[in-house]
Amino acid sequence: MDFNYMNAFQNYHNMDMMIDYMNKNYAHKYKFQYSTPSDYIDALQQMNRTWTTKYDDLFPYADCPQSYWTGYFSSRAGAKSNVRRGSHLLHSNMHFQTLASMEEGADLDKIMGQKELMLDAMGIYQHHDAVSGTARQDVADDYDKRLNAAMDNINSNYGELLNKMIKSDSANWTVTCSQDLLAFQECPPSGNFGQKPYFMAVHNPSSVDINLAELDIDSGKYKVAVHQDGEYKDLKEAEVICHDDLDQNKNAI
Amino acid sequence: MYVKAAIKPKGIALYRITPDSSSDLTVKTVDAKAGDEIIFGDLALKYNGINKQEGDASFTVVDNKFTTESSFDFGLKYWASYVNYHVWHTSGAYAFRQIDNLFKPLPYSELVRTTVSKGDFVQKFTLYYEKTVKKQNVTAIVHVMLDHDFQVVKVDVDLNSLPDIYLNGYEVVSVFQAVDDFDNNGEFWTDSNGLEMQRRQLNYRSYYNITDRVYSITNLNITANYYPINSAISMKEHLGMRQFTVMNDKSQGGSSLAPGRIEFMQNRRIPCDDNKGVVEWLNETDASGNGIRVPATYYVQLSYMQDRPSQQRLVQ
Repeated sequence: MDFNYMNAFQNYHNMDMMIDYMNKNYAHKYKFQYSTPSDYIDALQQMNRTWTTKYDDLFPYADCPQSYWTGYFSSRAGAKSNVRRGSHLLHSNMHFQTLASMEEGADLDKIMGQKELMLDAMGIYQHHDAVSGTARQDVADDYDKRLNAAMDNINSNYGELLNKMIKSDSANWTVTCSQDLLAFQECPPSGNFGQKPYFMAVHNPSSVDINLAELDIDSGKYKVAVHQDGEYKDLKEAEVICHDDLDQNKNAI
Repeated sequence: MYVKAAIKPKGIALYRITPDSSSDLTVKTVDAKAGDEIIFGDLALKYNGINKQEGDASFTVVDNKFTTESSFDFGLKYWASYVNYHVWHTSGAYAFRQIDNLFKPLPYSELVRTTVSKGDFVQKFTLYYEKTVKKQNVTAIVHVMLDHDFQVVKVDVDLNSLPDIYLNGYEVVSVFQAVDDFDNNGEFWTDSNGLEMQRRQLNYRSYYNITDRVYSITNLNITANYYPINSAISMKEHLGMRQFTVMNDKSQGGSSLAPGRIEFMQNRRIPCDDNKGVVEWLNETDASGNGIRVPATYYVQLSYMQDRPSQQRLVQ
């Protein structure tokens, strides 16, 4: 049970008394002692029994006939997608961290610090009331805040590392921001970059080719160039597809 | 904006996007009518209009390499949550329980408009869902396109705020229905934490008898068949050769409650606590007090097993 066994002194004191009493009065039948998992497994093995094999899992759980615990699979859907994004970022960033740490004069403390912050946030999120969405709103918000702080931290570094690897145009990177594929975010800072060119770096951390990059952008007229062999070459295969975000009554959807 | 990329594994590409009035990359978008097709590679996706019975959008995947056709419907529905302040076992953050005598999810919104954008390079359908419930807009935008990396249909469901909750909660599901008598005989597979696929049988447990008296009188045959989905639900035809797989991009609950039907729960908003320790409603709101907006992406593969290998592990 949650929040039980918080007072160790009280619990051990009670258990000690119980063990003493039982061993004093019922020693001919039972032996009471503190056990460990290995003691338990040893005892099972000494019974020399043949055990059955279970192939499937135990989902879904129900604590009584009217109450299947199947809602938490989807509760706090926003948090669940945030965790998945965090996991993507954590793994894709390791590639960059490895490259960065091999550079001469690399600040290993900083790199490891960032990684640990991320691992911390992701680790905490694996708690059975965190990623499941069964924490209270305030607590859920705190989990999110921790993860976002760690993701921001890595994202800023991601930009710096990309700049270093590309080694050009870094002066133009006045704003670096990341947009995870498929997520609708307030990024890029659309509408603000006027006639200045806008740079998009796409990292493919997976083990298969990717063929399409997607970017949220204001409607308008653009030209796209791809960086190849040290120069930018115009790319014809780029298209903008606009969609309405107003409903029939001209309200924002 | 969509840009063609050819990025090797672990690779990076850099693009420069310049505002330029002489270069218009915008693709013309027009209202779609039944029979419109979008094409990528060997595959084409045909829009068949609205299925009158269910109000779903109907699509056909045309495989030009193997000359096969398979159709599926997409719909947004919801389960009305069982909410009762005098009853211990309600729907809430932990438990999912729909109102009594509800065996099919209710229509969530109304498909009012479908557009098609046919570029030389990228083509897609956009579905607009709109409805007014108690003076509140119930909206969603769904983008349907053929994936450029794998032979799957990519369905982006951008689900806007769920309406304010008064008496009933909303548990919104995205429903994919394979049509043309797709019968999986109550059998489907769900992933176990992204690893091995576990076989699931509708209303059945291998280790105890689930269909006892309580089960049949309390309408639990919906919630008892929900499973945690980390990456995919898959099923195959009992007597045919078609396989139907829907992959998702985050952890969700999901099930297959009818032949050829796959559903994923996308968002929940419930004015009730289920007495399991949260002591709060499940009511997530954004800065302006509206329900949170939850986008999700699904990848649908419906094909003949002998023709196309499953794309599930590659997408994952």
